[in-house]
Amino acid sequence: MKKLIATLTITFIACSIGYGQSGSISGTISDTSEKKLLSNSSVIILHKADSILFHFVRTDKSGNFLVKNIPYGKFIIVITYPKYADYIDTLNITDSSELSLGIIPLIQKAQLLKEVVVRQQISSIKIKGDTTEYTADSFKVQANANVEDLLKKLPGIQVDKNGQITAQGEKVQKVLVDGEEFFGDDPTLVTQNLRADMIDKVQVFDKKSDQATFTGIDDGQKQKTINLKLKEGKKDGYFGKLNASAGTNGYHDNQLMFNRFKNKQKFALYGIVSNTGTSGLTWRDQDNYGQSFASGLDYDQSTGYYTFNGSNDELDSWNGQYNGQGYPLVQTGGLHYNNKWNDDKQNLNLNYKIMQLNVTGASATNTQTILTDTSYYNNSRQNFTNSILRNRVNGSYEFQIDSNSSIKLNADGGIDHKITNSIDSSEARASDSSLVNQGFNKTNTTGDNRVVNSNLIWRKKLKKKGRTVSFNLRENYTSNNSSGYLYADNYFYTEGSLSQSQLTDQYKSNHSENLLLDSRFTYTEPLTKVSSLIFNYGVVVNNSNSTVNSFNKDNTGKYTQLDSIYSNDYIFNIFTNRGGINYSLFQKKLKFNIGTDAGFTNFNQKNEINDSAAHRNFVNWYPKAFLQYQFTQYRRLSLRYNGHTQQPSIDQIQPVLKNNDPLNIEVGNPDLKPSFSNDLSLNFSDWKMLNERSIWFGINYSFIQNNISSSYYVDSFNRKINKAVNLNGDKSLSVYLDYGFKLKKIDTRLGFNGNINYNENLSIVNNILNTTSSGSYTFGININKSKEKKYDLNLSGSATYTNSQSSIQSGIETKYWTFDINPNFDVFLPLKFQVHSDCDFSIRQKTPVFNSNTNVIRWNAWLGKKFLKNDALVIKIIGNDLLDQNIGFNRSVNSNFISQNTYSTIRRYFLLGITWNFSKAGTKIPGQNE
Amino acid sequence: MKKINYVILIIMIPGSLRLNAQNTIFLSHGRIEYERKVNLWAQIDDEDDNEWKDIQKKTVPKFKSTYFDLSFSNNKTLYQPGRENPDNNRLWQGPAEDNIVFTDLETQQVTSSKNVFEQRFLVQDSVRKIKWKITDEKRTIAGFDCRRANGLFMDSIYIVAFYTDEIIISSGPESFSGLPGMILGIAIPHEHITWFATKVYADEVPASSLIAPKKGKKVTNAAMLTQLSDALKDWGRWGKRYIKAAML
Repeated sequence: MKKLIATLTITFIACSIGYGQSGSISGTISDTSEKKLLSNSSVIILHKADSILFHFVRTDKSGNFLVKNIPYGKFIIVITYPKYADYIDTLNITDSSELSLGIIPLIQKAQLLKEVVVRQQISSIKIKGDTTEYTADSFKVQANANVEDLLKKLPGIQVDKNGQITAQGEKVQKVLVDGEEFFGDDPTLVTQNLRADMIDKVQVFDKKSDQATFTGIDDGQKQKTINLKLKEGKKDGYFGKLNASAGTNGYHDNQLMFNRFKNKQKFALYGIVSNTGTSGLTWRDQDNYGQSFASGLDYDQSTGYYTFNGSNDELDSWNGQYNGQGYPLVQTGGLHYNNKWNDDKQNLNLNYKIMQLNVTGASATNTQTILTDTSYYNNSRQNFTNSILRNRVNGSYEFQIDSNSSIKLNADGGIDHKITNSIDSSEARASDSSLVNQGFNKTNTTGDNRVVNSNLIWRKKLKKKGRTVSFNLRENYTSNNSSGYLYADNYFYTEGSLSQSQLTDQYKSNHSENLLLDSRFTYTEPLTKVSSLIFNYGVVVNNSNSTVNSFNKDNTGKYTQLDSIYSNDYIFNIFTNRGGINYSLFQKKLKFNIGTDAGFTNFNQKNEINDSAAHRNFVNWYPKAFLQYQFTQYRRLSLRYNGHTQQPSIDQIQPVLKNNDPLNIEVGNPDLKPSFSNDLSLNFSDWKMLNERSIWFGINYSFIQNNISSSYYVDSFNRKINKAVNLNGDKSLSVYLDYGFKLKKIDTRLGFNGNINYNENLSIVNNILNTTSSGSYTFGININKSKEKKYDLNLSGSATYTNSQSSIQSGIETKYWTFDINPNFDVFLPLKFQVHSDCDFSIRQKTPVFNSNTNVIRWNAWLGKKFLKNDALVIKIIGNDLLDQNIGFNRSVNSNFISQNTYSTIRRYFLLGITWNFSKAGTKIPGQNE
Repeated sequence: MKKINYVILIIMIPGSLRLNAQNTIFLSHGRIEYERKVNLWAQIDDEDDNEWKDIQKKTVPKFKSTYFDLSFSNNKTLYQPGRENPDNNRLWQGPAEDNIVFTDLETQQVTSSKNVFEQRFLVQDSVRKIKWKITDEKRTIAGFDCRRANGLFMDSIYIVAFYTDEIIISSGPESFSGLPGMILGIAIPHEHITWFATKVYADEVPASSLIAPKKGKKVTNAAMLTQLSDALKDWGRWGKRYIKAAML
């Protein structure tokens, strides 16, 4: 026993008798001290070269074993029996005869312990708290050293030759990597390895047993545990994109984007100068060169809902394109900074954006006004020149205070300086085409809009699982100041001859402000493991004031005479105490919640001009219910009801005539009540991932009580006054169905979709209640076939039938078809050439009123070639609207007014462009294919 | 005694010593509960670096646990979903997370019923060949002394298993087997999934309860791999992960 640790090699001399390249071994296992044969011992044969398991057997009742068919070669035999020390030996099978190993004795470990003196080196390291921490870099190891090599260097830690780690005299039970158990990689089986230089810190501590962690009852059992904290991936680099294009008719599109990152810090900037519609970063570029959309998202674990708190900005579109009317010239830039620190527990985002946008253009509008006894047809033309200078700052800060609580603040603010100029001319005719009015209208307005928004969320999980509290405070502040001139010259005709004229020449100065503070405290109490009650209470303050002043010219030609008809100063404050209760059930297949909030709302209205005031009180309800049944993970049905209250805005309340267009005067109504909407929806989805088939189906129905609608008064000169009123009974129904599948034989995807929208809108027209019923019915199809890096073909088409009828004159029905066909393709050619083409055939059926030809084929195409390594450089020739047919187009039905609007938009141009994706050597640009 | 040379591999915990060899009980039938644990955050971290990771991590806990029962008797084992974990009700259930696996060690045949997306497969094939490498490392799982073996599954997936020779049947959770005893712990380190026995019951297991699942589209492992590889070829890293999960 003096040579305790050694191996014995038994070598068998080859005799090479007989045939077959395999031999067999046999033996008997016994306990030498107890003189007993050990049945069920494991006899394990391993290949000697790599310890790969070859075969194993168990001994029979008498402790005997026989292993046959062992090919010639070197093996290791391991014999194990519970609570006995392992027996290990090497074998060399060179012979087909049965090799008898005879009686193999095993020794109980307890027996061994008596004979073995285990030497344990107790470390002299002092433990602070209950964790000892080593900084990995302060211990020198060789390049490519593995974790064990590092651990061996640490004082107080020993690693024996079998890989067993002892720390502070105790056997280490578990090694964790960032909290997950680390098993160590076997270099003979895997190439991936955890290298010593990837480790930041080695922490040694006593971990409570899993049972204690699970039950929360400390059973006093501790496991010596090592946690390896990995280094953050070292990152230091930059990348960016430069795009410069120039073309015919002065068209240009230039963008520069740059991202510099160092570890967790990211600094990015971009600049754009373009008159082809590029107004900002695309959704994809936003992630790399701006604040990611993701950072505005918030997830509530207790309800499972996402909320978005980013700034909403009508000039920020997902595709970075200007969506409005006219010809835009954009000069814009932005800065972004993002940093995470303290183990990512703190996260800061800051952004600044500036934009100068100039838009010029022209538009034409044809409107049919349907009345009980007659109809009017109005044609107007407008030329406009608008500009806006926009400054925006926004940011977010998030702090994960501890594992149970977090706080997040989002804020944004900005100033817009807007200048708008427009010149309009219009004429209206009666149904016998006699002239009813003529007008000439000129407005110039300069305004400043200011916004400050913020949102604060604090959440805390309490001790009992599922019990949470949270507090949310939302603040929105807007202020608008504008001033400008209105010059309108209108002529009115009776039976074709001039009977009246009206000249409006005013200076207008408007100021409005709105402050919303919405606070909410939420408490979730778990009832069972799958259900909970959610209580909430909060206060909402919504204060607005609006000053509208119109001045007429005095004798000296100055605008000093206040026109009291068109001027007013009004305060509208809403105060709400809101609280409610919600029950929520979340089983595996069934998810259900129901509840309501009640709001006690107080309106305080004050007309500062005549000092009249009104105080009104309302009880508002916010009921909601949701039921979802999940047949499988991929097939689900849900039903939702949502009742909500909408408060009138100060624009709708303020009792002042707004004559910005003297033919269409709007007036508020101080007696408006809140409206209440009921939304019901049913949705079904079924998705087959393996068969690539999907079905989406949904029905939405809503009806509104006290809808804030309009009462129109149209006189015999087709002058219109529109007053906000509450009307009961607006309804809308929409149905959609989308079915997609793959034709596997020809590897082509096919999709069909259908949409039905039906609305009943109530209004009052010349004191008669009018119901406008309108519907649109769409059927669409799309086909897609693609092969990666070869081609991508897409064809989609849709047909829509629209109709509309107003009850005041049901004899007139507006109905028309529109068709859209879009064939698109991309073809990847040899020599890194690529051709792209997209086309839009828009066919709009004429109607008796809209009888001009508005059919358009808009065809865009480009040809590009990629150069350099990783295709970093792309040169493109772009042709926009090759057939030079594009027009801006919009048709709408609003109560008894049916209108069509066409406007100028970018048409044919050619551009030659170069895009260069640059980066520091070795930097991978996120989101880009390798 | 002195004539014999051997290697001593481990010094065990004295508290669990059973001094008399006759008291060693070899389990030949019973039931094992396994906890299948997935490190969801580590799976998210394996994705490309972007800011969506943070919001993704907020929607899921770091570890997702599901429970399975393995009944064994007479060289037959049946592995099937065990007690429900209500914490998972809000979580996405990935492919092949509720497998039923029946192994007949006499005939060396495995029949498993797997929900992979919308399809239930009934995989009928022979016992998986796993390249096992026996090591000297030991640990106690659910009161049993286990030995570690490292393996290569499907020739490329690195796995770490802990088996005990105190349970005679050579099997384990899912379709892991081939070690000289019962696998009580297994890890697929690079996929961040582990199975560890939480409890072992020496229950009587009636033969009638150990029957192969019958539901599902009949395939072999090779046929299922072909179908999944074809359907998931455009799904990138997650597609590969789903395929691995389904093939276990």
